[in-house]
Amino acid sequence: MEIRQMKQNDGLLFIVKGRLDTQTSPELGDKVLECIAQGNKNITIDMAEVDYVSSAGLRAFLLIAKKLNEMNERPTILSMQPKVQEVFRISGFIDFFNLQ
Amino acid sequence: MALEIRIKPQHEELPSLAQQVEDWCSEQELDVDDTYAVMLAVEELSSNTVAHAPSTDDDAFIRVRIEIKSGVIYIQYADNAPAFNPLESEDPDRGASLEDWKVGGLGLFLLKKMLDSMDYEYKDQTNIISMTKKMEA
Repeated sequence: MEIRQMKQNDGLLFIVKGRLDTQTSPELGDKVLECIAQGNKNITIDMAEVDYVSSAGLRAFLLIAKKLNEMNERPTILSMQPKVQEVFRISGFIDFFNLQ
Repeated sequence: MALEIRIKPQHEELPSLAQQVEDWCSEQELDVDDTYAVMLAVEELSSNTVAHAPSTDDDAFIRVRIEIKSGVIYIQYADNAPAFNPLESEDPDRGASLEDWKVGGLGLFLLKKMLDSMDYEYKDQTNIISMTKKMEA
């Protein structure tokens, strides 16, 4: 998995590539949560090049959504692949994200 | 051809296990849905085993066997960790609002939803989880 991070308008964009599994997901979670702790509330994650998310990946997203929810914000997810979107939907928390 | 892999129940073994399973799915020309289901089954179960019962004992193992017969993918996952029936695990606690959500139990919940069948037996001090998924047409 690779993560690229860049400024986007008044927020942060994370472009993720590869598999979000048990090994790789904590890195994404830690990185985004650290940015939120530094005061960034506008978080966008581009998932166009993510073809696999396991429950470990879902956990990372849930922690991010929970943290932003405390500040009445929601993470935005861009370009989710259909299969990954199905996994989010089955898990039931797709509604906690803005999908674009 | 069936795939059979045996590893030690340790974190550092998991990436190679996942890679071998992915390579096999690709050799068998499984489509995106089938590959996803097979990868997920192996990852969720193996990461549970190493999270709850990691071991460096010589006789400790995780064993994965996958084969395709008549359009059905058969996945058998076995380990000799203490007896644990994943079918009895509770579904994740999903509250009405986000604060109430718990993160545990998601993996097995996903597997129950994405596979066609999942059976458990404990035999000869071995947990055996047998799963099937009909191949996409």
